[in-house]
Amino acid sequence: MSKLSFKRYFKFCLPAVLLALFSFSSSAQDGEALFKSQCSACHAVKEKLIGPALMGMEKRHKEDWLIKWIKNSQAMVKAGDPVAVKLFNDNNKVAMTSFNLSDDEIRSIIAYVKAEAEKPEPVATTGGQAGTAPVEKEQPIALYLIIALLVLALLSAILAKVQNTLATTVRQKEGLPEPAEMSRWQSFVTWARSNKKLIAVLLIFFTLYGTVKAWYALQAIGISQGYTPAQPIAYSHKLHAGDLQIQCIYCHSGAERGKAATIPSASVCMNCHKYVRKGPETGTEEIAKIYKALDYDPSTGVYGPNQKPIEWVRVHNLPDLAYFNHAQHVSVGKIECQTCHGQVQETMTVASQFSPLTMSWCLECHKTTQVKMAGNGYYEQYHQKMLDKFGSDSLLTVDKIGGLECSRCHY
Amino acid sequence: MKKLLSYIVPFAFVALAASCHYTDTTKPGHEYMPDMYRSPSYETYSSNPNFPDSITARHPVKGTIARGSAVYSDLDRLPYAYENTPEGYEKAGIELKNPIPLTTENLAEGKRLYFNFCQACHGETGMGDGPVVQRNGPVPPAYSSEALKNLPEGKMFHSIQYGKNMMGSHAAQLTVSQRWKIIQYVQTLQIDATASVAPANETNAAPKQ
Repeated sequence: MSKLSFKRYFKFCLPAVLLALFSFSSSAQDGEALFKSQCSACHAVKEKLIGPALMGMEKRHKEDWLIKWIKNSQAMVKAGDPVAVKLFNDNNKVAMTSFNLSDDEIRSIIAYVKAEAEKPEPVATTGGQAGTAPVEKEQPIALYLIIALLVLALLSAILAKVQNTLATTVRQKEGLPEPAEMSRWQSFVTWARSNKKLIAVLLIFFTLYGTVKAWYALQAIGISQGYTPAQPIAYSHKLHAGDLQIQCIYCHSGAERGKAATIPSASVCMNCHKYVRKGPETGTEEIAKIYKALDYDPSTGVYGPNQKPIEWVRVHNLPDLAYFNHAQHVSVGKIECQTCHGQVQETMTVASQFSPLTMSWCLECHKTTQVKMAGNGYYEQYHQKMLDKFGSDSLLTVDKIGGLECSRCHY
Repeated sequence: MKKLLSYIVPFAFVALAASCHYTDTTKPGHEYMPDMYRSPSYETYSSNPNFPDSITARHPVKGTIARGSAVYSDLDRLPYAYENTPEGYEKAGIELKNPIPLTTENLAEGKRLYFNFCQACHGETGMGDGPVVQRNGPVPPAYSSEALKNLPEGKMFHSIQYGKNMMGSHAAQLTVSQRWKIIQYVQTLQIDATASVAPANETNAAPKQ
């Protein structure tokens, strides 16, 4: 081949090569959009969701077969195609939706899946280690203190004995008379009389110290404000309600309908965690705890028989002598969750009691909060009567409708 | 000087003791006479020795119908007639119709419920781009997509009742009438989305309310 003809050949070829490259990349791009809109509700590239992992499907099946399957899988199963029947049975007999896609669109999806499968796994970040790192154990300080005290007591006993022996020896050497025998109490009184100042200081110290400690202890009786118990699963409200913007009511759906806000059952967790199985930090281990409680196998998507409830630790506990109803406050009173529970979505990685939940705290709010009666179906008939009696909406605080009556909460 | 010191030192100690005041937040506070604080009867979530699985909250007897007019309407009491099978899905799509009238109140309630229960994944406008999806959550198809734009309302209801594909069942979180209100709102989202595709109708695509 001459130089010239090679040049010409190249000139001719280059656009074709470029075109081919371009068309391939655009096809993979289309494939990505199509995959995300059509397939990802049931399929992932590298793991089984509802349907099998798509990685390597172009090796498992011929392209014609795949196109036929994606367009109408049920027809193939009914027609008795042995590969189709096996695939259907292997995936819990969930019928795959028929897709009205063109052959080229399906080819672009296959190209995208192939490109995705060949991408290397992202290197695990150090964050993954954080979950497995052992939590620093609390040192038993009291034990060390007791040991130190015992050692000191032993030392002082030995020293006293030594001093006593030495004094006796000195007295015998110098021919001094032995001092009169004293009882323990008598010797203490003699010591105390000669150390009056020290005794006074010690007395003042312990009285003041005791008073301060007792003051705090009495103030804290029956109040669990700030109570933040460790939970069986390190669930973060900040992540779920804050970053992911899942509304409070999504999980605590009882708050609008009844007395208890309700703790979501593990099935509510599974609404997302059937799909989300890994977390960047401790998520992977924590999510595995949900699967364990449900006896769920994420690789097959099957729930086992050995299910156990997750034993969450109760944070808020109003005394049994007081009645509280969530629906009354949330649905009728239209009080925001955050009014009593704090900015859970911004601050709480571990659930914590924000309010004191004392009676004076309840009553303070009842005295100052205006009842939202206007346009509230619950107060349809009552509203006008109250307006006639008190004049204006701004005066209709909770205490005007009996919010301070004893029997409203204690019965 | 020494005398002064002997007065100051104990006070300093007391101040120190007071400032060192510390409460262990992993433990609840002390209770005075807790016999009236703690319920002697089993509460909803307390563990219960009378059942082998220790759960106090039991399932209602099969076929139980909810009572109480304040929370549940007659609609909410009716059991669901279709089975969780592909045939049930198709059948619900043909037979099941929304019994709730289309009013502004119902639509507003549907919007509120949609925001609380659906938008985290399906997105505020139903494009399948909610905040959970944007952080690697499951990707639902847009309501205006080829697969969903003509979805009969019966199939929508069936999907909320039993779940569909990656979506779990939301029957425990939503009453029957609440689900129908959500479906009404979703249908308006579908109309909005198709209207915004045609540029001539852009002015009509403004979100409701």
